[in-house]
Amino acid sequence: MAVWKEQMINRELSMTVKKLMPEKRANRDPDSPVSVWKEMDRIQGRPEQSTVVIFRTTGCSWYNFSSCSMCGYFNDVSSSVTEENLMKQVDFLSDSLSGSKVVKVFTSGSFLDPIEIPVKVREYFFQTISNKVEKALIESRTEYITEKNISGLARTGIPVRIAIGLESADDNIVRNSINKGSTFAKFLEAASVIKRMKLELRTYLLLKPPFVSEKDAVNDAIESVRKVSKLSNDVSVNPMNIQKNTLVEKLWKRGLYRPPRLWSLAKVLLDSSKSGTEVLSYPTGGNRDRGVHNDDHDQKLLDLIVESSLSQNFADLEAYYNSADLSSYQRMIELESTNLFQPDFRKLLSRTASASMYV
Amino acid sequence: MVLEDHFIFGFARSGVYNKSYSYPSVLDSTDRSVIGRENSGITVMGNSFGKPFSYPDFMNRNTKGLLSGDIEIIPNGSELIQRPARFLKVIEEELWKTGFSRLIYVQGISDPYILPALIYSGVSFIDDSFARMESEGRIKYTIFGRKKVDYDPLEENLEFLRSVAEQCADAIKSGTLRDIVEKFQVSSKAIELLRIMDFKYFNEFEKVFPSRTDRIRANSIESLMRPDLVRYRDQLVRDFVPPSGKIALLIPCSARKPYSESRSHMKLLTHIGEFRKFLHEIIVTSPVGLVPRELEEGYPARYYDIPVIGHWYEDEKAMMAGLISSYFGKNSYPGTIAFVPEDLEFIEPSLPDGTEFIRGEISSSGDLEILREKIGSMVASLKEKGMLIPGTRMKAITSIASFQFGPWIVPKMENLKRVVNYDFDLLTENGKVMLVYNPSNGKLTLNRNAAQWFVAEGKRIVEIDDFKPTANIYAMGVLNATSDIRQEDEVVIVHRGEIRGVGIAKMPYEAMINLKKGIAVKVRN
Repeated sequence: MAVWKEQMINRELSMTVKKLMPEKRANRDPDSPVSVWKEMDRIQGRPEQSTVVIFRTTGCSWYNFSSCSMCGYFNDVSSSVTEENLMKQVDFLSDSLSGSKVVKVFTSGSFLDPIEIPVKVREYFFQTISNKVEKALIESRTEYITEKNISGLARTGIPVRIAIGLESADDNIVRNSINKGSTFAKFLEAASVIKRMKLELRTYLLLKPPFVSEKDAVNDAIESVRKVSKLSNDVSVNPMNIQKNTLVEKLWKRGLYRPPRLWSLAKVLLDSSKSGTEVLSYPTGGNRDRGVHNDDHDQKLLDLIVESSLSQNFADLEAYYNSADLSSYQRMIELESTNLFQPDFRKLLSRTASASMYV
Repeated sequence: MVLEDHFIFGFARSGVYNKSYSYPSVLDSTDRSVIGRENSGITVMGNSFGKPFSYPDFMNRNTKGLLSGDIEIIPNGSELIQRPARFLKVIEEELWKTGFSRLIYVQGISDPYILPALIYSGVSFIDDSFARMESEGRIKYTIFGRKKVDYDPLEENLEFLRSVAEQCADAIKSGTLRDIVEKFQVSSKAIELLRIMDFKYFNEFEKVFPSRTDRIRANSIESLMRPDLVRYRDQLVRDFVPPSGKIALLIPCSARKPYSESRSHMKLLTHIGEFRKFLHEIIVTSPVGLVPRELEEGYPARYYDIPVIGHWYEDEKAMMAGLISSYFGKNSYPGTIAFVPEDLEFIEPSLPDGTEFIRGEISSSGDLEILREKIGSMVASLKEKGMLIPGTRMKAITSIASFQFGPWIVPKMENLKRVVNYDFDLLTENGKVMLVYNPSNGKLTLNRNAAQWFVAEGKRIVEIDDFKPTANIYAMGVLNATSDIRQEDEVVIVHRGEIRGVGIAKMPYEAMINLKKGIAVKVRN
């Protein structure tokens, strides 16, 4: 187990997150992935269908210590997954491609963690798919992105894009709000390794971590895009979605957290769209209580966000954004930002107000 | 010096912070000079609080507030107020235990219907951000509660909220804050806060609650638990020394105060007048409980109003019955008679054994005749046994003194002579005035000559720096104060054992010790 540096960790936060994680990990079928589906993305520079797989693994190495405040992927891990099991999952994926030329691999952890995905499995994966697809995206924590560990990726036969969940370029937020156990410096180091190895980098940012006002969250995301744009082939902005058994879920259930508004996500995309790199967002749980949503349902806005992310043409989104009356939204996030504590303001307000009489 | 207190009522304080922010008040959350957000973090009224991450209560049971200078921010008011007991636990730790050393600013509550209770708990600042958010939803504040409107009520709401704060500030000055909190019952949260403060934190509030206020308007059941009334009942049992050799006579109260000036009591007294010197009249009432006749001119007996309908709530009955039991458990009388109407019949089981219990109405001359006969025969038989001692006014004042200062003063009183001067009773020793009784407020005032008694007992002493007190002693000049001092109490002013004067406390003792500004003692001579 890695030794996590104290300055990366807020113990109070880590322990709270840890306590919420289920103690027993379920034993589900280790021969099939958690899930396989198709979705549109543009990692070859144009919108196209890609196949997404979530391999069932023993999980993220960080789970041995804690977890991220918003991450519930530990719900999908299995306590014993062998190399053979993983290879069968690779076969399952291979049979599910149905013509997709791009594959995206998620693992509830790090694809490049040799304990989670043994190197033998990694090699088997690329052998199996490299004839069928033109490009692969994998995910990893920064600590596994070393020249030694990833030297093989340059020889897989297909270009590989590595996705790193930076979440925020602000170490304070990563430490005190997300509990990632990482730093921006570690990200920069990993990014330079990726560049040297002639691989590609997708950077994930989290929009609206807990304990941060929506206004600050928007600014943080914009600022983070600015800091990583030159290093990244693209930046994926992920607005918070509420996952089971997480700290964020506990907060949300108590009215102490609200996912960001679609307007905020739109602002981040519009402000970042000229950053020099591709900035995109395919929100999970958009327009639902557990995901990014406005106070009033707005399907059109969500559609525009996804469409413009795919096309990298933000004109329609911008026109829609500029023609809307955002004054109430802006007043709300301004008022929210004067508070140090960041609950779901409307929810708590109405709870408190309901204790009083109505005329 | 940035904290300038003007008036204190319990834990509530009014004054001016940093020469520009009056408290209690509602901060304008849109004014960047009041609440500023910069890259370096948040500044509030000129104090910098850095860039803290504010965690919810369940994550964070130890650190509650953010302290900078004299200001402490409690950020998660919106969460805490969902459970008022938790909110008050935080206030207990951060404010009540910190001896008036800081001002509390609670974020996350802008509810005008909760504000008076917050101020009563000692909160100095809230902000208007939640009221502004609520106004976005077109909810308007009215005196009876919230109301949905079809226009932007923002300005009206802010005005409403500010005026609640201003009126609470005035009520701190006039000593009526408690009444406001009791009567402003629009939000159940406010009532919860008040009841928890009364039931769970009586000791904390008793220490800071003034020993007298302007008037007690006991319009709601919450009045029963006013700290000054609970204190009165405790003090009555603990300190009051009744005159000896008298028959206890329990009678109902009257609306008019003092009771003896009411028509009903005058009528009663004309019937039993000849026996009065052998009777210790005790009035049964709510919310005060029991009032021995000697104390009817004082606080709180003379200063309360209650809606009387000939029916008592169970809580009131339990209080009266409990108090009667404790009182007669402590004090024994050669005989006891109760003359009460039907609605007070419930006291019978609480009376001492052998009590002559008469159910009767003062309005009925027949009932009064029965009472007269019973008293007559009890007086005759006890007189025969030599168990009765006629009362005197001096003895009555001695009982008052025992209540006001404690039973330790009773032996000192035995040497005093009573001299009547206009409406006052001057109590003298070797020709020197020691104490003065004022029947118009039922209070004994201290003369400098009696100060030595208090110094010897270690009671009611304010220790000051080396100066000659004039009209007022400011908190700055107070070095120490004994913990028995309550606001409005008679105190002795001392410097290194040397008596420098007497006066009236104008702050709770902890405030005198810890504050720098504000009048601590009004000096008499």
